[in-house]
Amino acid sequence: MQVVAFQKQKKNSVIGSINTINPSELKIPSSNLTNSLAGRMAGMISYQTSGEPGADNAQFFIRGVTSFGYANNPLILIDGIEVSTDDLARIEPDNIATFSIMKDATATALYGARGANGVILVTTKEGKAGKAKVSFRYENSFSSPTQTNEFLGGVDYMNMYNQATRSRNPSAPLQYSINKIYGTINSDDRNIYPNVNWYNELFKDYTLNRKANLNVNGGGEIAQYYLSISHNNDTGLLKVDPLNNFNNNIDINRSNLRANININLTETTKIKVKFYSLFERYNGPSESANDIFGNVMNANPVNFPKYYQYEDNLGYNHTLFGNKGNGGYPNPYADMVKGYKDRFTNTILSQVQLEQDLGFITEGLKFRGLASVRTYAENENKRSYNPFYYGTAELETEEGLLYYLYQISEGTEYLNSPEINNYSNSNFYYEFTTEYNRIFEEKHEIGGLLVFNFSESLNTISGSSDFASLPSRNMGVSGRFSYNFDSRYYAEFNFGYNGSEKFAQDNRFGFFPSVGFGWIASNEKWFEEMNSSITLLKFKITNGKVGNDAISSASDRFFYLSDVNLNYGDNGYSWGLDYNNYTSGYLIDRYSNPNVTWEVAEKTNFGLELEINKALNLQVDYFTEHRTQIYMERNYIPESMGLTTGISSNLGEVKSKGVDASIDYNQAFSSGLFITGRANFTYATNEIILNGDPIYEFDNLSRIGYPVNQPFGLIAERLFIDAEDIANSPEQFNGFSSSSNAYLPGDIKYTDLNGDGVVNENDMTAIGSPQVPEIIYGFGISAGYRDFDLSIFMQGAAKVSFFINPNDISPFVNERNALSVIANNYWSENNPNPNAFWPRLSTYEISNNNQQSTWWQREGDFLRLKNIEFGYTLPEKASGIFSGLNTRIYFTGLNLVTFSKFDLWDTEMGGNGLGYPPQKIYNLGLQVKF
Amino acid sequence: MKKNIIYLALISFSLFSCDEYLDIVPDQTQELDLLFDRQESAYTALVTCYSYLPKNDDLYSSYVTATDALTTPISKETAGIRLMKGLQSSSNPLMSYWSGYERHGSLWRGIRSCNTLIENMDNVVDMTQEEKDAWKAEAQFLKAFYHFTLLKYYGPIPITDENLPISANDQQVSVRRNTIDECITYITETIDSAITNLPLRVLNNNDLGRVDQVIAKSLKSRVLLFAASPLFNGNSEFYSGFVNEDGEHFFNQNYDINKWELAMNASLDALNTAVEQGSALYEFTDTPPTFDTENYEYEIVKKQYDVRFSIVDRWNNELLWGHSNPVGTNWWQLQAGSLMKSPTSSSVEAAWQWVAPTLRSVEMYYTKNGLPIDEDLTFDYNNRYTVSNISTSQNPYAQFAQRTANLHLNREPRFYANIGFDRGYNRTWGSKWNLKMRKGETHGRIANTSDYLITGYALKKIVHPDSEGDGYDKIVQYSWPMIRLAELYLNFAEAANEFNGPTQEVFTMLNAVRERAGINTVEEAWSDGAIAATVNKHTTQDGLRDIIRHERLIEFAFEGHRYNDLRRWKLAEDYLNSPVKGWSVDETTEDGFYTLRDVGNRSFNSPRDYLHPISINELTINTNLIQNPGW
Repeated sequence: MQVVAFQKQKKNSVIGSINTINPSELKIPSSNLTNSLAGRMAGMISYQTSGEPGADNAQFFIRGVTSFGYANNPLILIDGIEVSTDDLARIEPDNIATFSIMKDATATALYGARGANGVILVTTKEGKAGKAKVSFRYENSFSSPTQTNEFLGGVDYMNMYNQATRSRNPSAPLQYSINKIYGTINSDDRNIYPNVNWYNELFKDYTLNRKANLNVNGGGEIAQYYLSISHNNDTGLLKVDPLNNFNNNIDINRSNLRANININLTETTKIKVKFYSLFERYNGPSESANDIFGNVMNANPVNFPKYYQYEDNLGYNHTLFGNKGNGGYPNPYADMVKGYKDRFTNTILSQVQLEQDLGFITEGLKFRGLASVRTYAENENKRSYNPFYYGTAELETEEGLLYYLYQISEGTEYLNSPEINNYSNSNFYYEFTTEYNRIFEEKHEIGGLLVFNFSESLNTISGSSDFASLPSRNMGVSGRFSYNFDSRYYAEFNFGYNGSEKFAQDNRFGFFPSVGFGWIASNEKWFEEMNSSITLLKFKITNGKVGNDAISSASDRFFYLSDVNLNYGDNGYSWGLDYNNYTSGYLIDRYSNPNVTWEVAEKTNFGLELEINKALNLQVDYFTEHRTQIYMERNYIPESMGLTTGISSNLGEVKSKGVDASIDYNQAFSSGLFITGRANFTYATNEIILNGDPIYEFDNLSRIGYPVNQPFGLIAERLFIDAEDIANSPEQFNGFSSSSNAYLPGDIKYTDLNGDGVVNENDMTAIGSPQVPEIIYGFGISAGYRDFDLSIFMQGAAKVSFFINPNDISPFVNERNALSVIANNYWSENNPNPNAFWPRLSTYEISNNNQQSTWWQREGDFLRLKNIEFGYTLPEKASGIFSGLNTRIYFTGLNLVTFSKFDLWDTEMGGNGLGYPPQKIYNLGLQVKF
Repeated sequence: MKKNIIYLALISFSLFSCDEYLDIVPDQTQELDLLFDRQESAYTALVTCYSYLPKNDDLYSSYVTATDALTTPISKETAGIRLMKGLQSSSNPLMSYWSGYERHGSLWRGIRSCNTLIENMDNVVDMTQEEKDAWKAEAQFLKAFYHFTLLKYYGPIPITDENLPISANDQQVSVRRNTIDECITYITETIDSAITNLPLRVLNNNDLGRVDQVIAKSLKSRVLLFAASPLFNGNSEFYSGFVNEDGEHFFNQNYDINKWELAMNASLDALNTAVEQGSALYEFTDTPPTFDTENYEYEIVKKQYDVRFSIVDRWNNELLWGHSNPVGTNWWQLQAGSLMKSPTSSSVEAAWQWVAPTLRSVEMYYTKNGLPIDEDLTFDYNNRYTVSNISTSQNPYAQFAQRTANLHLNREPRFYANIGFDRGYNRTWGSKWNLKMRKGETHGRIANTSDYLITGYALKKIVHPDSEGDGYDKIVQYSWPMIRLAELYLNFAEAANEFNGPTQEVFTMLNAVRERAGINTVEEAWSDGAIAATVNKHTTQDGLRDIIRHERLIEFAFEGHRYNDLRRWKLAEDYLNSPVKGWSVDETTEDGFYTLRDVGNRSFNSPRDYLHPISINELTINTNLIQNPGW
């Protein structure tokens, strides 16, 4: 049986495009399920840019990003209930019974206005009657960055800084004296001659994480149960200051309990109760850990030590944090250790479901009613102290130079009162389903389904707007009618009809129909002779419409209402003798637009399923989608209309298409060897048809015809060779006339694309691949022989690009740190390489070089050894207390090797290269079942 | 039991009202409709309509600096000065009332707010119909004023009498420009219909600054004067090729003399109504400060008080329409830029001293005989830059026994009232200063400060004599004159001369303004062959036209009229194309100082610059819009 929207169907009769994955494939040594999605399922585009525990959700899209509207995320349902990405991330793979993604209109039309971005549907395990089965798993893993950034040492830094100073002004005074440089080389006194490797001072090389899961399942005829308890502990790489009595490192403890109980009230009446709770305690730095990683870039090795170290700390009971001059230089260490954040969140989900077989009315009729409540609460306290900053100064005396320590700013020796943030929400969902399935005359199989559902979600967000704090509601009716003749010809009609509170009364409800046809050729009589090798050949075609009502944030709903600021000072006026008869005016922040409604996606899918010898399985889908009514600002509103704010409406249009395919191979040999091979591939591309842009004077600026995430920028040719080269080239960004952007040989030369004699924003054009991968693929092989098993999984992405942000890594600007990679390859008078990685050095920002251009764009293609697992199952003892005990120990490696042209940082991080890096994990696990 | 479950399910289906379930926004959230619920909130809407009125006392947003009359050091350029330097562009238009600029919102927004009020005013429950009609009339007037302001700078504009709905599609929002004549007709008809419901005259202390019939009629006079002027009346010279999609000329191509008659009649009507309502040309009636008690005996000093206070005496009886929302106690007021620094004050934070009158505006003023300096035989025009001793008789306006350029001597009272020159006086900071403007002197440029009077002249006109520059709150505020009674006299004179030629009526109107300025009548000035170089110039229509225009430039100098007047007379390229001149303020010696030098340039590309460009962005969005010629 295959899970489909609101019910289960026989696998062969499914003609919608649905991919279901074996949950064990989602098991990786990470406590975040979304990290395992990439490359596992045909149709899923996914990537992960951060490895920060607790904030490492991967981005994922079904069949790519097909809208430039507010939300592109799929609808996520666990046991039929809509949940958040975080809920999905926290689910234990051990508890998953099925994991499916629904991609085309037939599969998603029943979700109506919520299904256009695809649906992820997860069901959890239920109890099976029989003796209690216990499964226990324990894992312990070492986690370390896949790659770390290398920075210049102090002496090299100072020399290169001095070079940068002179590079643009040969007579400029040098920042670092010979004395300082020699002192750094020769002296051991790091209070006076600091030479800090900030990365090493801040971060540990690796950290340890633990995970345990225990589940029991069993039951009798009346009741069956599935119970699971899990705990995991994730920690971060941050170091802790010895003087602090609190922990500023990330330390997350999560416990969850899941209890699924089925009760057979009568032979035809069944009650299912599902209960789930997750409690999470987060401890971490007061600043974001991602920013702390980035901050390493902002402090250089020689300005000051992380803190001054003196015997007995000079009697102070606070840390003497380093700084310089009058202060104000970022000290990443102080920022990291100055406080901590304590957050606890809990999620509780209760669900009750009643199933009634209505066979006494007519055979094959069933009714189901479901109610569920999910509540989420988050409480956060952030505490920090103000660091005491000290600096050293020189004093010239008769005995020579003396150095003394002075206080730059007074801090606090205690933690300031906490910053408290609370957030909570509750979701209610009710669903009533009537189902009918019957086979007539052994050939005509008829299925019918009618669903009525409604939901409400309540929010408390501190400091939110009027609109955001109002509840959201949704209701609808959906249905399915399916017919198949003789297991050869299939037809299906689906619809969703639902409404949302966001829209005006006339536009609240939308109807989303779809049709699909399938043909199992291998069941035809004339196919019989081929059946020995081709065990299944199935063609399917579907077409229909699905909607997306997540077109704006919670505070920007109720489009039929205007939003007016009735106390707007800038539109005020005064009258009177002394001008004091003043009244403020009004400003319209949003015009009401009752016509606003959901996005519509018209999806078409052509599918092929092929099974050879019951061993090789191939599924290929070709799809197209036409997304219309994308909610966006109307850029063609002229000033002459006199509006004080833009108007948004359902204007945008995007067409997308692609292919997704998966192939499976399973073979067991009599020798006890088994091999499983899997590969899947997703390619999704799109083009903007309409985005409300005006007709640009220069064609190169138009985004029409380009993908939604297509980057635009200048075309960088090379670095300028000499003054003559500059004089003979078009002026760039008024660089001739403005001293603030004067550029020199060794700075970037751009193409004057529109030929107007100057280089500026009008010369931008589409450059490189989109910033969301168009291709995601994965392949792996598992093999077992007797008690040993091994599996390897590779995952890759292609047709993706990103930008290195030169503003973030420009060395020396604001006395910033310098990446070694720049020191190895930059333009200089001695090495005037017009294709050097870094342009002419500078100690201040050169806006000419910081433009978004091909110079900084990189291809983000990569292939990595995502997962490798080697296991050994202990021989089962036939008798004794350990009889019936199935024990497996295994080693797992995650992200061990990556192949990519880009080597500055982990390619998957894209533009977030200075953030918390993705983790390479070595994991040891033990699983016991009995 | 099984049946019960089914019934239960069916009941729960039917009990549901879908619309109610999805209607979750409580009533009384901030909505546009609520604005016109009650008088109090509707007042907010009325105020918003007024808030788009141009702030000409705002240093950076003002058209006052957009001429050859004022200039500033390079580092202190305002948008107006940049405009005059020829830095206007269609990709990023300067001083654009169309798209909004600096602190000034797009006037289309102003028009929309007026239409919104007019369309919704009748919904207010706690006002009488007369009150509602009066407010609507105010909004109507403002709508006409905003249309006219746009027309002044852009020529033909799309008339927007009703707001386009938000749901308007891209073709509907792509409005087309109407012709000049259609625009003028629309503006005057809108003013006329506003007049019927406006109060005759607003004199209530609380409401000063709100529009009334006097203001509306005066604006109509101005609108019709513009419509009759060469730029807009039969301008085939510039705009024969400027046509819409149907080939229709945006600018009428045939001169129509009757437009002057309309302007003449409207001016007379406005003038009569204003005078009936108690307006008169201003005369200073207060007691002068003690330092001037004796000087006040001299007519030339007394007249300076009349002239200078006619602008800065708040709500005086010459002021027909004052901007009642002066740029507050803020650094961006035009006054702060013009106010001289006090050499003795410990703080000069509010005195910036860098908006300086040009030599052009100094030479513009008449001689004491009421003639232009190059038309007065008694004035040594050729030696006007020569320096000579100041005699006792000149002591009331220049420092006796000191030396200054001849140009500064023997001039009309308006010159002394408005311009501060080396060895003259300035009544400022509540006292009287003996100006010494050469470098290193008391009021000269100190070292290489960037706040300095680059021409060697100081502006007195728009600065209140009691304003003190040691704090922004010590600058005396006044209602910036948007319409003064003097304008109606000169509007009439100009229109009547064009329509009827020189008549006594014209002289009478001109003389009223001249009398207040402290100079002789037109006839006296121009009939005497011993004084006037062109005797009886005033008796020909062309000669009198010159005289009227000159009078207007002097009378309204530094009030923001010059840029518009020069353009409507099609004279802008003659004035706005030459280098700006001033004395050498970096020189310490007399000879050095009194050497003219260029202190900036002006560029006016004719006919292109007669109209402002519509921004390229706007044209890209609205493809039905036709750009002004040359841009």
